[in-house]
Amino acid sequence: MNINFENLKEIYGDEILDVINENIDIIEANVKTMQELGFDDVEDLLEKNIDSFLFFPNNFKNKMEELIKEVGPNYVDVIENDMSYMDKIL
Amino acid sequence: MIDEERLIQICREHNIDGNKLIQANPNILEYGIEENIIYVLDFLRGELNVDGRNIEKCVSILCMGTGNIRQNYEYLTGKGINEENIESCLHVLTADPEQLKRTYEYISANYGKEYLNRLTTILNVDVERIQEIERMHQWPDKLPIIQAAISQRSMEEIQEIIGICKENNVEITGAVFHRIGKEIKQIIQICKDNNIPLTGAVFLRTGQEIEQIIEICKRNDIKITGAVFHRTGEELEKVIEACQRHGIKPEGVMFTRTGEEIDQIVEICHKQNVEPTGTVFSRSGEELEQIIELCRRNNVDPKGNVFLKNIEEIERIIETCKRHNIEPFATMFIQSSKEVERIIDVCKKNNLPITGSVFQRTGEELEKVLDVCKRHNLEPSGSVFLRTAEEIEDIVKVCREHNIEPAKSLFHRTGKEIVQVLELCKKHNIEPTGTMFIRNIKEIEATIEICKKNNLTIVGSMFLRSPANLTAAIDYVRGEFGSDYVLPLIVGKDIGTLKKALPYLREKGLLEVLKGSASILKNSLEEIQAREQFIVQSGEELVTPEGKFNPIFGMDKKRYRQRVERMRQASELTSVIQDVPLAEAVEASKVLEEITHEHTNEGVTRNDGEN
Repeated sequence: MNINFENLKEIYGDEILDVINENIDIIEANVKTMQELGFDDVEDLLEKNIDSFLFFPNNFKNKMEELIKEVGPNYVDVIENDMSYMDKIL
Repeated sequence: MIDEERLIQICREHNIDGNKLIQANPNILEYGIEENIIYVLDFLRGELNVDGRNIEKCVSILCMGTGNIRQNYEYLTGKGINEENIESCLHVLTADPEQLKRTYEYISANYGKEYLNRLTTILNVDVERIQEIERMHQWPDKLPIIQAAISQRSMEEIQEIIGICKENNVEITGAVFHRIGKEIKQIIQICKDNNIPLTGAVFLRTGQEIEQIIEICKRNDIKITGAVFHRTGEELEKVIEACQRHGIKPEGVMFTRTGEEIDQIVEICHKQNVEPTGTVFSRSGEELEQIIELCRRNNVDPKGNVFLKNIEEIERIIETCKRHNIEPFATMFIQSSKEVERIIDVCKKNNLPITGSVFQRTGEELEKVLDVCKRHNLEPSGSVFLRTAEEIEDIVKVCREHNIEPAKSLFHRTGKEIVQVLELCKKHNIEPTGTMFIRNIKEIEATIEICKKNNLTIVGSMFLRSPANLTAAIDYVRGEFGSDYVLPLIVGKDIGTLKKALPYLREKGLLEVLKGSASILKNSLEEIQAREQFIVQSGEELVTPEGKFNPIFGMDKKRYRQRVERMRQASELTSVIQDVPLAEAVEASKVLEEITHEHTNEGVTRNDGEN
């Protein structure tokens, strides 16, 4: 994955790098969930919604399932067209 | 008895400073026997290569229980007690071997071997004393029992001290046993009167010394932490003066040095282009210079943990690295050279990559950790090595009980601390995220407090920032824009990005929109401006009728680029056909449609308009 860490630092501060480093296993598991759900630009989803990706994997999966139920079968298009939907899982 | 000159000569032959020995304990001249001294030095220096400074600090080993030294050493090392711990505590080797063995077995069985490595001097204490102290009190932790046993206090004194601490709600740590009951009462009162936390180090000083130190610290605007009590008042003044001379803040380990030593160390740091902070003050000036030069010759960064070791140890560690063809990691220097060797062996035996984190554990501990990881299907890497095998078992158990995955970040905390965090989450209705476990309990509590004080919904993202950074962001937003804008999705961002984006949005008259549509702040200001421009060029509104920012601000990069590209192509097409009369454009459009239709039927897509 090609994450723009400079961008992340700018939005969330330098601390975010440590947070990512120490939670890389959680993040990787959640990235995999998103890929399995059919999302294409998971890198950008991760960059823009790093806080959401820090939920424990089972919890993250459940939250995404609820969001998908709410948004509908076209969820990939809906969410990739407007990532503010990811705030609903916070 | 031994003649002073003869003693100094023997010491010289073994590369030890005989004068320091005599200064430390003049009784060596009266009670020392030449053949015993030679025997001990041949063993410690000749065979074991024990650092001479450890012998200079423990003169009694040369004249007491000399016949027990080898037997005790072989027993303890055979049981896995670190050589480095024994060498820094040589007097235990003079103990009666039977008593030593009984104490070893008792502590090992009832406390754990880690206590023997941590406080090796307990091996000099007989089991009966330890057991009597155990019976005195409902000890919540094991460490103070051992520290009480090691202390010089009689049973009556220990009993009295426990009573005073209980009465005054003072935590019974090992440090309290430095003083007798009357002194402890005085110290407690002084600390209460001056609002000083009763940390262990205060008990290193008498009441009078503490008052003096407090006055000096207040006068010099120095934060009163435990470290300042490592020096007397007079010594402290000299340390402060030296620090002021060099424009450095007096803190932490600096207080273990005299003023003169600080002068010397700072001068060396300047000469060697090393920052005069932190662990550099763990070593004397002379040692420091040698260590820096050794590090530079061997491509080791002269900072941090390196200065925890003397030069011989650093040389040995570097040699070990060369032999195994690995880089010297900073964490290696928290272990002895022999331990580093053991750790590398364990890694190789278990096919474990040799990274910095493995050196956080001893070789023996590492093997146990690997075994636990295997049993619980945990990846043995990174923060897992912060914990012992028992702690990892405990964490796995806690995770199972609370239905969370044993993620890497959890290993920053013990099982008990994880439960504390989860209970806090439950109490405040917070969903736990991995971030919380790299913060300590105080930070989490502080963040919760900040959120409550500011009426912020406590979501996991609040813990991405330290409490101080979160407060700074809140204060800025409230100060500049008002409390209405103190919202999680706003103040959860870095203050730098807020200082750019919020004034810009205000200037554009779009600030109000932020209250219900703060996701725009996930973009940098440059991104916001670029998308704003695109939206305007597309003929769309920046704000939807529902009062939210145009979804384009929240579009993922790929789709956004595609839209930008489509607009660019449309714009090119427009400029090509803009001078063509309408009727001809319509005719051309029909032709294009026919062509496209034919070619689609043939399964070919062309865009050049040719037949």
